[in-house]
Amino acid sequence: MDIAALLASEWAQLALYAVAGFVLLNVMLGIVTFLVLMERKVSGWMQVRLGPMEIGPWGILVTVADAIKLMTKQDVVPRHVDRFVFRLAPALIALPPLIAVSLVPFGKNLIFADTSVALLLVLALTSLTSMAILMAGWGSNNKYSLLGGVRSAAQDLSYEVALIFAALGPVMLAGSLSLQDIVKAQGGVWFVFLQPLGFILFLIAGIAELNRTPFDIPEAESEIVAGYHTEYSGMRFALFFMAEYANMFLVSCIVATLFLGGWQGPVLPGVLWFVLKVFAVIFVIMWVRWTFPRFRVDQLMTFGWKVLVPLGLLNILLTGGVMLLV
Amino acid sequence: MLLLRIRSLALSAYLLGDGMAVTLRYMFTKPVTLQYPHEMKRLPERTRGTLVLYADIERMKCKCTVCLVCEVVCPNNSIHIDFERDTVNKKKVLTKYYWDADKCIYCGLCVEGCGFDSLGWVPEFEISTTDRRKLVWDEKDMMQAWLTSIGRKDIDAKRVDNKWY
Amino acid sequence: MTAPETIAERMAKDVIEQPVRHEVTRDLWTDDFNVNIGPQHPSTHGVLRLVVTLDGEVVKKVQPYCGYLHRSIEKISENRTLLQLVCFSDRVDYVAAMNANLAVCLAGEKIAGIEVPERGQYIRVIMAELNRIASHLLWFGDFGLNLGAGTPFFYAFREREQVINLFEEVCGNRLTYNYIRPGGVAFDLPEKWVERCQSFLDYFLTKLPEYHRLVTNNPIFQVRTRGIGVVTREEALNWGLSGPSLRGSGVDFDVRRDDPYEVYANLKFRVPLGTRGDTFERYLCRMMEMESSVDIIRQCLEKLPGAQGGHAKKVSMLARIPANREVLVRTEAPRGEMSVYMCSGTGGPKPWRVKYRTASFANLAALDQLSRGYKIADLMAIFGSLDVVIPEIDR
Repeated sequence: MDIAALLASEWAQLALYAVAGFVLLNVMLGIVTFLVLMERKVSGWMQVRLGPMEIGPWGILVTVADAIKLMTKQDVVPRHVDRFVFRLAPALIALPPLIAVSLVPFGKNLIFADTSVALLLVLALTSLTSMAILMAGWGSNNKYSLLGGVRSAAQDLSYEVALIFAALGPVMLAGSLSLQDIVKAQGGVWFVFLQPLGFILFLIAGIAELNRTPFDIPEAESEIVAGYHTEYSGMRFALFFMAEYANMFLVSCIVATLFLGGWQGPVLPGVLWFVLKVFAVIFVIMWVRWTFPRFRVDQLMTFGWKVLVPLGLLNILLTGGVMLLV
Repeated sequence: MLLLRIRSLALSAYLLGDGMAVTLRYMFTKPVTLQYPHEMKRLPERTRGTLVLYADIERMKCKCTVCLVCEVVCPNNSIHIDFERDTVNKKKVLTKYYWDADKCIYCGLCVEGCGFDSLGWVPEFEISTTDRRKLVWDEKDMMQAWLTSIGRKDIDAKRVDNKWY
Repeated sequence: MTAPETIAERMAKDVIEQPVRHEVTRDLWTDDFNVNIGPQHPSTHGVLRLVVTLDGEVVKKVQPYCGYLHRSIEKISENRTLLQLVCFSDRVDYVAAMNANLAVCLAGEKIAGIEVPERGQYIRVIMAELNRIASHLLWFGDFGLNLGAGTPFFYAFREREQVINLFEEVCGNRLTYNYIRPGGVAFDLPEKWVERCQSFLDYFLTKLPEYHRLVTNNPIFQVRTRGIGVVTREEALNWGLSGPSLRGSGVDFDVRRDDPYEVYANLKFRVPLGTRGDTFERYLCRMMEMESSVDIIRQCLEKLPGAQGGHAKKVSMLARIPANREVLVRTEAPRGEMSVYMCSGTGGPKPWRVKYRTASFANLAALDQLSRGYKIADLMAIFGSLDVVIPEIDR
């Protein structure tokens, strides 16, 4: 048997990809677990309290306990739901962030799939989430869920446009849609200094895409109980929960990649810089959540279309103009 | 017009940032949480925790003279007293003193009404049980509660002054 | 005479009307639909059922169904002496129990002709104003939660914890105090309570600007509350609103100043007044009322007379109400005007009828009118700004 030929053959490549994908999936699940804990602790500290402390030393095993609880709950499917749609929605919402993470460059040579249209793929995958929310809202046979799902569809649609406009700035500066190329183009100076407006716009639009306060109308707890995931319990709810944090991680990765220089950084290894930047962005997202009240639906739409989209266009204009002159 | 919009946008951004600064500042201050089973708050003297009968320790009897004021003044009928008339000494003798910790609204009228200083409060609030019938206390339980509350060094060691200014 | 209809029969008649159909074209229409913001809900401040008729997002009609927390306090009070009555008044409004105690005690004193010594009056005013601060803090936290802001709630409760600790030192309980009695107060202030109260007030005044930075100045909050739920002067007077809900619309009326009871006539304090009658003005009125309460408490602490013999207990235990008298006493509770009507039939230790006129009941009645035409998210903001607590509605 020729070992070298075997290793170079396609089967070996496929096997390698499978193993790497499995590792990535588990890393993502681990990160989601950590993020839930981080949210609870950070929100606790901001609210002058301690957060969970009893389970595990300093409360670090709290997500494990949550996961066990959710997995062992009774699976309730209400009577008159649209069965196919109801069951598909949690799966459909949990998959896109897990897939899209494979396109993000974690380090100089640490990227799962280096495609030349990575950014486009990532944005397309995040749109799938809004479809899944609409499915959950419709399929639950519940007025509250329907309200939540419809609101979310409107919101996600509006902020997609703003997101894409804000993301076009780094694309113009780097000249490519590939995320690895965009990071490599930030070797000199990070794009956040060249594109401060674009950074803010992308962050705000990203928070709106995540359905987090101040844009969390779809799951506004005080108005319509729990919005589109009212009727889900047990493992199905766990998938929604997981999807929210996985999405948050994904959006932070994209922010770090597009604006904060990805894995670029002086002394430490690239992966460490990347992780630091991503968690800094995640902290900012959590900080914003626990400070502000939420927008009303029409104010949200006004803000998206009348403020963010014109500013996004202005950003593109300025970037193009400056690039032409310099 | 455009300038006004830009100014209002800038002002909004500043105010949003100011609000975020408040939250961030609190992230680095000491939390106000008392970790309950390990730390307990120091309770003031007048706390209405649990009703107890003060006992005459040598004779292991309570000081109640069965004047029945506490039973009459209770707004909720949480106290029920069984007594016998001792015709020899022309006095009432206590047979059973029932206090329903479940029904009691902890208003304190009985303690204030007792003219013989035999009812009182102790700052003990962990009296919950899994069986409601165990919450109807008789005079032995109440005296026992008082005796146990006098020297609880383990709880006193955990008590913390929860004041942060 | 026909038999009076039962509640079940009346509710069956009280059918939600046929949904109104809005036609866009002949083949395309939308219907109004009813949403039940049910008794168990994170935002209704207790158990209140609201049936909201919506046309898309716009509220067409709000029907409150109350009674889930009815405990027949007034009926029970018919069979209790003046001293025992006070315990039940705690539960009428458990968020501001001292004010409810005070109202009932004033009624009992007026009907039985009991005098209160001056130190007792000052202590009662201090307790009532401290409880006003505590109640407004709870409202502030809840209002933030209704709108989606999670943190002001915890900050408000941190301050409220201090007030509750002060109350615990005075009377022993943290929520249902049973402290203000006909004839005065139950116990005198413990040692050094006045110093602790002063240091709390100094601390509290440093926290109010933070609330303004976090919530009042927040552009998102302003956009959510300005111009929402506008009540004009005439509407407010017609609906019988009271308290900050009334003052937010520009009606300058405060029972403490215009119909003074206890020692309020000797105190100088500002009553905040709004102009536009929207949610933001009501919110701001309550925030400024907290500052004005601090002012009142400081004046009372300075003017507090020395200790006199306590005779409240004996007075209230032996009080008998003369026959054929009726009184109506008005006080300014944190939510608005709380009046107690007491009448005695043939006399004796127990009153014949005690009626509580609570502000939340009247304020809730205005909710329907106030929220028509606004969106469902505004309904929550309006409901929060009216500061309605359910125990007051249902008693």
